[in-house]
Amino acid sequence: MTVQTHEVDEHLRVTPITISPSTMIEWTKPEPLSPLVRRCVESLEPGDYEIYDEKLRNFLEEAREVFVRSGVTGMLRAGDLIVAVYTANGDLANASAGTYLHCVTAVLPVKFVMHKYFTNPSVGVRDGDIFYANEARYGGIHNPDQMAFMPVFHEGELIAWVAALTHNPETGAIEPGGMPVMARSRHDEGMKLTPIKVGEDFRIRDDMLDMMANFTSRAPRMQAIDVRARITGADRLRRRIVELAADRGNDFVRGLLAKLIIEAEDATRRRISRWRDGVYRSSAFIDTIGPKSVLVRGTLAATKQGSEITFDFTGTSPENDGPYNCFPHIVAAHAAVTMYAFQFHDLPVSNGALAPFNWVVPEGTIFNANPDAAISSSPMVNSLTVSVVQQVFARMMFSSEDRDQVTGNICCQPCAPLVAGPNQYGVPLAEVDSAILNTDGHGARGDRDGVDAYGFAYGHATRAPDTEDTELEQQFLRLYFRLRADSAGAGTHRGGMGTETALCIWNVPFAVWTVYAMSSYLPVTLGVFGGYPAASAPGISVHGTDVLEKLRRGDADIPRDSVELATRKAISGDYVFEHSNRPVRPALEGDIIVATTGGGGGYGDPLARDPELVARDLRDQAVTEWTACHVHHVVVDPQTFAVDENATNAEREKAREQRRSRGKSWDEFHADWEQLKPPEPVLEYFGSWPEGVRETPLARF
Amino acid sequence: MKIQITENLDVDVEARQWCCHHCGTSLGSADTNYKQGCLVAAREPDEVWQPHVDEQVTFSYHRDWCRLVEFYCPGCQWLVEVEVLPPGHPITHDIELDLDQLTGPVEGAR
Amino acid sequence: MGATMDVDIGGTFTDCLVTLDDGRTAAIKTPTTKHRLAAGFMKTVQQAASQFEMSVEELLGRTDVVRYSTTVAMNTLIQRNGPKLALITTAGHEDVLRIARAASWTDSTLPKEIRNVAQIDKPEPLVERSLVVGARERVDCFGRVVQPLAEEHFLLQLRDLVDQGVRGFVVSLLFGYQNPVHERRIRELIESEYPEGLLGAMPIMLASEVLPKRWEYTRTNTTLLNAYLHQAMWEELAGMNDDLRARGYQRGIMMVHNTGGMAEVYQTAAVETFNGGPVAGLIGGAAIGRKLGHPNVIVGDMGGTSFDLGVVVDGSTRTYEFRPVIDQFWVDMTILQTRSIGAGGGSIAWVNTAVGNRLEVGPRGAGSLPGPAAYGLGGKEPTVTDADLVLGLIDPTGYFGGSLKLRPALAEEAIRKHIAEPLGISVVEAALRIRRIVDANMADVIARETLLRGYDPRKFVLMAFGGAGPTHCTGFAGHLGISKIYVLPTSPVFCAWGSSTMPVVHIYQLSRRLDLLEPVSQKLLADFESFNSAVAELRSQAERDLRAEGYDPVDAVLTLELDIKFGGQFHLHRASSPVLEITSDDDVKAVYERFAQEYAEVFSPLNVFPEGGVEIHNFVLRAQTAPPDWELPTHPLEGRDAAAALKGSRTVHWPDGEAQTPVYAQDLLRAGNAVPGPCIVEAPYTTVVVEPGYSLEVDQHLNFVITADRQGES
Repeated sequence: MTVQTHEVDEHLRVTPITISPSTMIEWTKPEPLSPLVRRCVESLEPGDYEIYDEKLRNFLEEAREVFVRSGVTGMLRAGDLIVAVYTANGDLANASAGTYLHCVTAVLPVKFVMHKYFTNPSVGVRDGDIFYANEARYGGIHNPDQMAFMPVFHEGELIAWVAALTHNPETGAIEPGGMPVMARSRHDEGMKLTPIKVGEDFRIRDDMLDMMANFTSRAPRMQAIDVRARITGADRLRRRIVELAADRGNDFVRGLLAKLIIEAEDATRRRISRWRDGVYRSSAFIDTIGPKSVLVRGTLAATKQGSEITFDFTGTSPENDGPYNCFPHIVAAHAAVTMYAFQFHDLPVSNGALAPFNWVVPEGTIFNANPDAAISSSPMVNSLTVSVVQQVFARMMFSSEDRDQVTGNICCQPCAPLVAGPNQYGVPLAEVDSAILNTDGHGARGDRDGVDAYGFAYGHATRAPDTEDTELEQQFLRLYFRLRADSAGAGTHRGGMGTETALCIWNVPFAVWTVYAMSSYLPVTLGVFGGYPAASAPGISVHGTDVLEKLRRGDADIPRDSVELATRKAISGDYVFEHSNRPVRPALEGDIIVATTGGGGGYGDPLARDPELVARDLRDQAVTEWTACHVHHVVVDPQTFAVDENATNAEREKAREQRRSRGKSWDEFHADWEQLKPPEPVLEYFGSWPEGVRETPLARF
Repeated sequence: MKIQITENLDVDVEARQWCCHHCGTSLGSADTNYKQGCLVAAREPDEVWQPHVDEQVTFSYHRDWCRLVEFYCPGCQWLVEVEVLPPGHPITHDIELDLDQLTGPVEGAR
Repeated sequence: MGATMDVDIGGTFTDCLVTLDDGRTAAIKTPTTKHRLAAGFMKTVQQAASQFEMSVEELLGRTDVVRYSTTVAMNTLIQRNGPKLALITTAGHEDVLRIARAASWTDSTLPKEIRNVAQIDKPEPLVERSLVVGARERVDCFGRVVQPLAEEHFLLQLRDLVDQGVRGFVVSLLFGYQNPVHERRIRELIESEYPEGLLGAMPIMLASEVLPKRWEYTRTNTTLLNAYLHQAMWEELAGMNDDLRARGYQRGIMMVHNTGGMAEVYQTAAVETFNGGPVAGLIGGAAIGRKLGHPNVIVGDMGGTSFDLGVVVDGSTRTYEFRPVIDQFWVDMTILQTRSIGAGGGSIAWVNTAVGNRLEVGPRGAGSLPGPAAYGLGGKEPTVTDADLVLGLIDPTGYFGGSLKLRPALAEEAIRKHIAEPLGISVVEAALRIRRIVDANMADVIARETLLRGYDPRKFVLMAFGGAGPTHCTGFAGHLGISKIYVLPTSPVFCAWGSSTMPVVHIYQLSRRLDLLEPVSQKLLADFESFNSAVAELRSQAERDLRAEGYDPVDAVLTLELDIKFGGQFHLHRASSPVLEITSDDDVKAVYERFAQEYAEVFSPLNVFPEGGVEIHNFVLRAQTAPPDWELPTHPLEGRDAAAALKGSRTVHWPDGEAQTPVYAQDLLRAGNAVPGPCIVEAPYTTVVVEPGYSLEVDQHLNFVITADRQGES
């Protein structure tokens, strides 16, 4: 194929946008097909796409493996990473992703470089260049997520881009850990690199490494190693693409990458077309913005028409002076976490799948904050996005052949306890308890319960370490680590259970700890079609305990779950009951920290649950007798777990009777309901009641 | 013709009415929120989640922060939908169908 | 040396290779008798005896050794018909099997299924939740007893379990591998409460004995699987033993292990027999590769339902599974790495309408019943075998030794209806695409197994076996640029043959955390005793077992491997240790340097990170006897002309168009014969397809050597 220079230029073009944090989302749409690329796609032979799509996936898996095994951050193990290949003008063609977040955000820095620097002689893009970025204003979720990306040249032509991204828990912010709860503006959040060139000729520049190490001087060595790991991963992928181009030609690579995006877009549109046109709405609430327990709302109206969907987040609470804010592309990234795992799980991970989506994210809300806002806890505030997106899709998809993709919410309330200080070997550590972080409940389904302790809603297929694994590395002893009874949302089918643990500080005189969590006062993990939300996460800790003596004595009453711990108080000490999001504080050996993960949302009326399943859950300690009786109205023998059918029918009839007498007509209900309002302190960050609009200007310094 | 829209809701296309999927009771015009045709009750969190301690957090949710707003079919008392809302918060119009499109064929719909 | 008998009981066929002391061999293949595996085995012995024109008693009387790999473990798990077991854990940790490190739904599923998050399910544990009890006790990470065992309470729990009818106990307590005092006490309590005879023998297995390694999920899984499989395997082996003894066999039975070695039956844990067959194939591939001068071998077995793959690098098969899974359960055993994908003759081709009418093959298969459409046994969906038949590659009258007549019209119909018409292409075009895609799928899994480990598949030779392996080998080798393929005379019974090349191997492992290099200070390990006592402990077990099998431990080769990681990193790297014992700082340095060097080779020298410390976590000792001596039979070369073996010709549809293609008979081809592609060679249990661009030669061992006409063509 003969190629004209102007055709190549056109093919490398990125749609110009006004660059700002609130507009970067426009680049999530695929670039229009240039005539050159169109010809490349048409010249693919039958079967090529199928075979080389698979081959590309192998390249991605290989690069990911190299990346994961050569890095040091624990987030690689949790799967907070992506290895991706892009077209020459920055559209994501396919990726191996531990979390789908970065399928959206890692696109934008590539397009930014092509847009701004490709033809800029002071920067340029040349074979062997290594670019780097971690500034959410140019893509990215928050600055712990750092990304290395490289152009792929073959025979002098730019044919693709590759990238590797993972989370580093140190950014040089005002607190250690990368997500400073006390941050008040972007200036408190540490290193934020706009897309820059950190290497040339396939070599990293030492001056750039030194600069990054200087920014992250709490853990400079980790920074240096993981920068290399990202580049090693990206470069492995680059080499494979170059080999492919050498084997099949540049046009083939262009055609293949474009075809993946075209196929994904076509398939996404076909799927959307078979859902019912209409407007679907959901509101969800969280009860913290980090340093404070306050009410915050996320609102979504999804308008589905033909093969297009518009997501409108009008009604979402105003931005605040903490780190619980974000930008629109970050909202889209959190929507993608659901979309690539449910609605479009069988399509290539490419931004073709985002083409049918339009986004309305009003400025001044927590989802479209001022460019100077602190945003490092953006994943926490996007619990709201994960919740409402699941809710609207459930309603949109039920009446189609995609009904098997409808579930109650997967737990969307992250819980991350962090224990810091010298561990039992004297090595200073600040580690998240990944066992708790990664054992969330899965949503209930139309035909069966959700999966207990399935993984983590932001990454799905994540792994939790064994108790021995964490106790060998960290300075605590788990009194228990178990599935948590009653944690799942009840329903005809229940959500998957979450877990609970009690960490007893052990083998060290003291430690420092904190817990990032939510949903103590109201739930964010919702059910569908009458299924209930997941249970509350209580913040419990016990200080100055006698647990060491009790263990030594072999006392029979050492608690084996949180309810037992909190109600019997067999361990003596000062019991603290508070919101589960807990700021940094010290603890002594023997102090106990309780942490719980959320269950999944329920599906359908709990009164319609098969009584035998309730009996099974009771036997397996998934629900308590209280819940069997008060929520499911099932009569079960607590010894034999035999269901008394007649008594159950009678109880359920009584429950329906109660509904009849409790239920009021719409107007009657509103007469009372509209008199109610949460107390003022709860509404401090909500905006006007009930509109959620900012009432006083926000000062940020 | 009735089309099932959720686990608990049908739309009677000719009559343009919401109906209970389980007993067929009409829940009002499909142009409006089906919740208007339901019996509505706001329940305290403690009715659904057992409080175990009398403290700032109880293992249940907090009544200052939320209620469970339940929507029952007036015919069979089926729990058609449940919403978690702060006390007094407006109720969500969660499904607003394009009724004209509903009568047309949808590729692949059941 | 007398006769040897190598048996591989697979899911579909029982393969047996008998080699007499005079060098004569008999290769027998019979359908596996699922209800009683020994019956099928004895049938093969009978057939072998009659081939040699002797009685079964005479043959067994001359037999020195029976080497045995079995799928009994796999079958027991598939049918879930093991005994009702109880699990005893530390109190507060009873949900270990259900938490299962969170996403255990990924342990045995394909990447595509993993993405379908709405439809995931975790594996159902082998023990009901109500039969898991927590003993009140606790040991900490240093192996110190934190809380003594509450014995009275345990006895109450025990009575309750027995009342519920349990038939065995698995005891797996936190840090029991470091300090098994409570696990042992629990066994004593069970034994004294329920002496043998009272309820019949109930196995009591301690995790600290079955696998004394850190991390309770995998340790518990391994122990539990062992207990679960124990009974079925013993019944099976006792049955076989009885049958053999009754017909005059005097010697022992060696079991093939998934570690790549063998051991006497009574030295074998049931879990070690899982996947023995493919591992034997891998070892056989390595052995024959050595004889033929090929250190890098890909062993590919394409049968009816799956494609099993093993990789030999530099003559070594010692690549272990990174995440070994038995059935659906993650175990922490040292298992040789093999891969299996759903790509076989029975794999079903289908059009995926969700992604733009994309043609896909597998992973679903038609099995042996109903089987491919052409079997005429009710299968309606098109399979790979149907495509091969439509293309003229296989003879409908000669399939499986002629015992199964294929019906081309049914194959055509299935392909027309399900593939050709939806895609708007001809039946032949559809069949060609099915073949191309299944070949590419196999090529992909090979690519993954080589590239992901840093090797170039073009530098390997391929050994193709299984019913469909020789039919597809030029296809998938072509995708990879592999230019040399072997189809061996032992191909039909290759896994059985592989076990004849296996040494006796025992692997012993334990966990002990030692700082090889301290973080920051970079001080070298000073506590030599901890290192040496760990090795000594493993060594004494090895010597005891070898003696019991009649070997002098002095003749065995002991090698030490260590699981090591950099401080703060998650992934352990299995490194070979240059020393068995540490007596100086130089020894410590040598251990570190070997690790660092191996690590840098596999990943990148950029990522060597000793400043964070270097930790040893596991010790793995391998004891191996000398492998058996064997020779490849050699035949005089008889010239290139293969005309005498030509059976005829038929029309075959190749990717570039149809051609009248010569067909040869395997048993008539002589050493030295050479035929250019395209051609077809028919053998009793398979059809060798040599595509255009390849040619075939018969070497002096009667191996078929298929080479690409242009080196590295793809």
